[in-house]
Amino acid sequence: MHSETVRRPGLSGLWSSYFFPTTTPVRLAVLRIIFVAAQLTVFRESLADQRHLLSADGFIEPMWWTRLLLLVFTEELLRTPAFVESLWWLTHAAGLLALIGFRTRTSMFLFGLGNLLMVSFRYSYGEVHHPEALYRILLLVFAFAPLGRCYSIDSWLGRRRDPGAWGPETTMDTATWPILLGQWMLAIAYLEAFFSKVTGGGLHWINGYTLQTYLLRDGIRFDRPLGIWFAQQPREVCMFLAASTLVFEATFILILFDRFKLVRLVRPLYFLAGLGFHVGILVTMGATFQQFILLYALWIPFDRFVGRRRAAPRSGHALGDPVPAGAA
Amino acid sequence: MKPQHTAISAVIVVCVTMQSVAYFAGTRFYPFVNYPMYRRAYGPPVEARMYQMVAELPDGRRIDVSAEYLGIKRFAWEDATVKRILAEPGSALVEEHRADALRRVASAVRDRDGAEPVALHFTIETHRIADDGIERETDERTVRLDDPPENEHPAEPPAGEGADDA
Repeated sequence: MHSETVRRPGLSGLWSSYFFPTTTPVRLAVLRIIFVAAQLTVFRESLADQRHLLSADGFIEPMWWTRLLLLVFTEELLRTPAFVESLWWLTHAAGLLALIGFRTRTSMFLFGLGNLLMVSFRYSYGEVHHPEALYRILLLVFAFAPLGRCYSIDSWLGRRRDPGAWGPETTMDTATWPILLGQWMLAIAYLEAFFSKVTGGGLHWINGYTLQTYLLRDGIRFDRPLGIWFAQQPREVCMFLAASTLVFEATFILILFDRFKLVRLVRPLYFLAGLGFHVGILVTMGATFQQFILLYALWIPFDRFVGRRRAAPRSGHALGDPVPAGAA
Repeated sequence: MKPQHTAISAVIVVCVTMQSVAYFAGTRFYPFVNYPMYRRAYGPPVEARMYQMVAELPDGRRIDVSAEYLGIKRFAWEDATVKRILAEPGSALVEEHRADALRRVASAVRDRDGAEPVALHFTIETHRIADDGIERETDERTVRLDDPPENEHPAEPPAGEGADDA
């Protein structure tokens, strides 16, 4: 008697099928273009700011990236206009190469590293901000993925040698993990923000007075009339908004589990809530977390809109799912 | 698992672990940072304090020592400079922070305007939400830099503010 057993995938198999599905490189390439273009324009590190910092007496509390460089170079050298300007120009030249996709991984690595060093220098003068941190991690992480396999000079050159290995219709199993990693990092950041509020303020955080205070303070500080107006509305409005914020931050991580139908159904609501949340704190409190807004692009299935004729998504494919390539 | 996947998996695990550890480590391992902004809770009354710092020079000139003047961000100006100068007399650390902030302000004024300030004048505006709109209250404080510390009259720092900004 012949019996056939179906082996369930082990932890390693589940991990591989989650992080290393076979897909086209389209989403990764489009994200490369968006992220690099945004970093080169909207989020560009200011050379004037970098120069201005040189007028300080010295680093106040060097960040560990700065300390690493201090093992090799003297502080006097790191704080010369020549060094600061060279780093800025080299980083941005690498960014332009990453944007057009020439020697894409190397240029992306240099672009990511250069940006990290510049922001590390800036934050070595005693003031650290958070909005761009996740974004900087992803710029560097992307350098370890095949992000120049299509929509790049590398791809154009590569197709002349080996047409099957380059272009939007080629398939690979290493084009999805950086996207998923970015999604996880964003979800963890939201969860950390939730725990900070719960441990810092507890249930009082949703008493309405708290959000009114923040709205009034930052509304005046950053000249945001809408924030001042919101602060004067009935306390219940701020109680509702505060409670919604905590629920959003605590449960955002659930939308990563898209195997469940319910999750796929509510996921668009989370994106709308997230966009509303970040745009809301920007216009009412001047809290500049635009990089977080851009990170929502990690869920957009660009492969549905571009390169579709050759690599159609599978039936029932949900927003953000990795797309198996070569189906058509 | 392919060797390449193993290496990538290590990167994934390191990133996720570092991001999780950042909750406890703060900004030490930048860009893996925590997100403690706006974590504090406040009760009534709903109010906010705004500061202005003016340096008085020996020749009578008055200089608005703003964040832009010092070349620092607004949060560093308010939390690490103004509030530290105005903090109530306290521990050695409080006094050390006060002395450091005063030194930085004096140094900046000397570099930019060529003279050591003899006094710092502070205007503290308190905005408070009331039934019929926003009430405003103004308080003036002066810290004389040529007086011994016991003659200074530091203002009480606003309760619960600071250290929770983006």
